[in-house]
Amino acid sequence: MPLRGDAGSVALLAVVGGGLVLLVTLVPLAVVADLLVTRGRAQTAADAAALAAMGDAGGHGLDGADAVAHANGGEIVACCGDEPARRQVRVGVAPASGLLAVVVPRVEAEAAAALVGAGPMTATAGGAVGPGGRVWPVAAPVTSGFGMRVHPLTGTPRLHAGLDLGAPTGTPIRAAAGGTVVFAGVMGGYGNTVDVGHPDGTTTRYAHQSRILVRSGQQVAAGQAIGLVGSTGASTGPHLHFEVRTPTGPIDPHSWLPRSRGW
Amino acid sequence: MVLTTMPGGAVGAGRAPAPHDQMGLGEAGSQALEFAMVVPLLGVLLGLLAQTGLLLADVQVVHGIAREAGRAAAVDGEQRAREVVEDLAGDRDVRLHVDGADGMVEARVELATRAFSSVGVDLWLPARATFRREGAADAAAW
Repeated sequence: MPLRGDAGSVALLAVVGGGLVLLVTLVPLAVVADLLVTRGRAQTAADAAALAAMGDAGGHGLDGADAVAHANGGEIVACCGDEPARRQVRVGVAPASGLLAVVVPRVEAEAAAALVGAGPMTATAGGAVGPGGRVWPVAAPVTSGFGMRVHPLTGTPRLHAGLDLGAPTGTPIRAAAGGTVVFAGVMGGYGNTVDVGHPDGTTTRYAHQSRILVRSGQQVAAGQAIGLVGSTGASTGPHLHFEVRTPTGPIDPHSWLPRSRGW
Repeated sequence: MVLTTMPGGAVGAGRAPAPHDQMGLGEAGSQALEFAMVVPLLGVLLGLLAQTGLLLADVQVVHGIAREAGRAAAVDGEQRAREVVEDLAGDRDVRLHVDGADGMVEARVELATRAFSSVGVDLWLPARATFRREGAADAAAW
């Protein structure tokens, strides 16, 4: 039945008004959704490209970072900085929808990664004894090195002040050198942690332990078991986070520990 | 029921009183009626906004999970990637598929979003991440 007079006007107004309301709510929501998806893809591409570029610095050629960026739907906009041991990559990804592309033709994200020893994931701690009777605390591969990196939990670039040694839960952790236990307990994101003070003024830190085997004030010898590997605190899996701290701040443990075979 | 004179009431203003004025409802009555009609619509709109917020939050979550899964698969292999995904997803339903080719590892993750589940809609949000194989994963049988 045709609508006439006021009723017809009201119906027309309702249809037009409803359409406008849908337009002004759904379109921005679609744009925001696409922006979030594209930003996630860009961050993934940047993380992967930065890590690949870190490997490229180890002799794989710089094509690796490009290939990884493309595999994630992105394109490298800037790479890699002046520091050979640190790779900073900016990656751009085109939005999936034309709506967002009108406003933002390319969403960019940035990530950084640091080179470890002879290359990522290749260093293996062999328990060799170095100067001052120092030993590697765990015989395990280095899964994350000292330097700037994308934090696995926060997703932001920040200094990783030590080495991560990937080992199964329960693997014994040995004191890297003789000294005195200056802290043994829970320390925020470090989880169960032991700090050992050494005569040369440095302090070594052993974090994320599943179990602590020493007490504060106890004397320990190089190679003595002080705890067991775990994943307590801010951690995504069982590993030992090992730091070497001097009075001026943390240093790369590679320069302090003995160099193992093949380095 | 005691009815009071409403503001702007037309009774006695020189024209015939409208039916609702005769009942004593006046403009306040029509306002109440409009309000009662609009409230459910507002509720639906607010609900839609809340569910959309959940959806957008999960979009970010699933991308983070895919990124971590890809990295774990590239470094430690598929089993480790599954552990990482289960840890990060918590009690949420999640699917992981890992592929490897040409020195790369791709992790595809689907997360069951909580958004719109209250109205019976079962939505799975996809995300994927590709990393170059590293370290121990180089030797893994893909």
